[in-house]
Amino acid sequence: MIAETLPFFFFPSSFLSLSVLPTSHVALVILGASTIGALLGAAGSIMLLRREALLGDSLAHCTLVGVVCAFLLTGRKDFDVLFLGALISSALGLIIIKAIQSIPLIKPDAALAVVLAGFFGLGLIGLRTVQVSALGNKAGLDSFIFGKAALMTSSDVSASLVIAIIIFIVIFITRRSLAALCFDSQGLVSLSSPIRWAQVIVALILLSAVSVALPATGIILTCSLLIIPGCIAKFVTRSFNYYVICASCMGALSGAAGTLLSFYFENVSTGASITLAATFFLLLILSLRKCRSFFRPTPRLLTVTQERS
Amino acid sequence: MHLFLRRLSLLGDALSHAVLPGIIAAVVLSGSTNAFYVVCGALVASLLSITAVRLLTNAGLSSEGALGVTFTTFFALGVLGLNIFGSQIDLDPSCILYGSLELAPLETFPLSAQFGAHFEVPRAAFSSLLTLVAVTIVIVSRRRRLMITSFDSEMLKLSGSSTLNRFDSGLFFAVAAAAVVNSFFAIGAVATTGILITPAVIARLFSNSMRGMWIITIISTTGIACCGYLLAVVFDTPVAGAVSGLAFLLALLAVFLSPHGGVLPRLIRGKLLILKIATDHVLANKLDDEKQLTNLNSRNPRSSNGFFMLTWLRISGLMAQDGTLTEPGLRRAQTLVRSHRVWESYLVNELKFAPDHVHEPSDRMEHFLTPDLTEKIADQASLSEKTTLGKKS
Repeated sequence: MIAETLPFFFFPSSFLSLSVLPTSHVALVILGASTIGALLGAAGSIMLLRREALLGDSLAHCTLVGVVCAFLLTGRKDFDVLFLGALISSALGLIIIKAIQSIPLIKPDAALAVVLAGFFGLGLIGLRTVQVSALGNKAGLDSFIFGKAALMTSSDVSASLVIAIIIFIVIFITRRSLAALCFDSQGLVSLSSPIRWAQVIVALILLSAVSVALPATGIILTCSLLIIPGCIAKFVTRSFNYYVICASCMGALSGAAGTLLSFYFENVSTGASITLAATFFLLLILSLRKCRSFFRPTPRLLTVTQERS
Repeated sequence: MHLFLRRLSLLGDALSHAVLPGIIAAVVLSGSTNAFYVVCGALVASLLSITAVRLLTNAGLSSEGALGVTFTTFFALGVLGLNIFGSQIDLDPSCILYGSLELAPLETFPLSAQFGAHFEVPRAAFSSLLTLVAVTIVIVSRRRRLMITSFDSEMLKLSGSSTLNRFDSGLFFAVAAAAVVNSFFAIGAVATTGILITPAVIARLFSNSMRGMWIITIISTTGIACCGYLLAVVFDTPVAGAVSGLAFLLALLAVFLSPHGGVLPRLIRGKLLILKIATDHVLANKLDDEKQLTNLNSRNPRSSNGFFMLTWLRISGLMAQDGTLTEPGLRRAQTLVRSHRVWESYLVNELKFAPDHVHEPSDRMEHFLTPDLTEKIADQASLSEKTTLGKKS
């Protein structure tokens, strides 16, 4: 049933996997991880500017329910199916988070914590249901929790490439609105651009990024690749465009490095190794800055100083 | 719950992620899963992570960035440790997720001889009890100070330099960390976050006082824990999932239905308020000039339906069937108009508003001024009845 509604994914995916992608498994997996890292870096950098960094963590935990339900409904572990499931459940989580945040009694981060734990708990129940069910090929679902990039197949990689390219095109087209949303939402309103649409687009970008990232970084550590490349890029540039580009490059680099590391150390989950690679780059940049500050005054960072609407 | 009040809800999540490497290191180094070593390792890890957050913030990262970086990195280190050393110790990644409460009755811990050697208490229960006692002692003995500093961050900063206060907040965090570590083993990392924050959220939605919040938190935490465990046993699901899911569903219910905070009641109250204001306008218009009823829709762009308002007015007895005002309706309309005029004069005379600016604010205020308040304002401004500033349009 779902297969018929996804020709959009299948066609470019199969085309790519037949012609463009490298055949070596290692290169394939590194490409996949880099794509995911790039997408997460870009999405996360925007969220970091909007001071909603931990929203990504909540949404990543929400995806577990969707992944499990998608597997239970279709019995297949194809990336497309699981991606859709993750997207839907994290969209649901986002709606609930915003609903709870609209109550003045509750602080915003409490909403994040509640939804994170709740959805993940429901997902754990689902995971146990899967384990005791009679469905076949259920063993790989656990790898989604901590990340195991080595399990990505060429169709997985090509599907994530397609999604990443689409999202990058969207970011490129809407980059002015995104920048305005981060820095000057009052101005955006006064220009009578619909601010709702900009917020929806940002949300969709984040949701897709989080759902795509599951095979590589896993659920629990996706938010590391959302936050850390953004932090690194803040130290490198002050222009919004370059900031997003730099963040996605750092994300791709971390993804590649982390996956390489996980090939050397056999048992390591790629979620952990990617996170550690990203932190390594962050510490590198920080120490470079410290060295530089001995010689000349350090430039100011990219920050948002206005009130968000 | 104090974590929730201090906008530090995610600190619980962060702590539970960050203590993992401490636990792993402790277990690896000590070669056993003795609870004492584990708790020490967890405390060391939490201290390290707090230091790391502070260092990173000083280096220029934003506060959420530093928090996110630190706890994900620590957790990654912990996962790394699990992957590398996991075969040597009997921990594995799913232990973090699910906790091992189901196995609790199997791990027993003989109490010391003074309680009688034939008592074998499950270790989890024992350590939980200890933690509970510790937490209760700390919170009860410090509650006034905790309360003040949770709500008033200025006071927190002012009193921050004394050593007593540093000890205080350190104690608070240590106790919080101990509670987190304890529930870590019982129900796993993510459910810890859930049960840390969700009962507090539910409590906040239902009560406004500190005492009420405490009671609701305690009741809901124990209730959720017990019912969650029962559900888990009945349906054969992991305890962590059941507890967390149950807490979440209860929180959703609270969010949507709670009388003074919930989403639905607020929507309903908002609609009722709109209705009241719209019907008030209708009444006042009727008094002022005898226009036709068909003009109603043009007056109130917010109202859904002139017919709806008329029906409501008829039902509440303020308007007769043929469209003229009844006695109570007449009185209400007169009160409205008088409040409006009094407020306008007040604005002009006392607050020095320009006369052409006073109609709009009075249009809003007239609904909320009670008759005796109006009289008090009128006395103070010593007005006459027939002021005609700002004619109603």
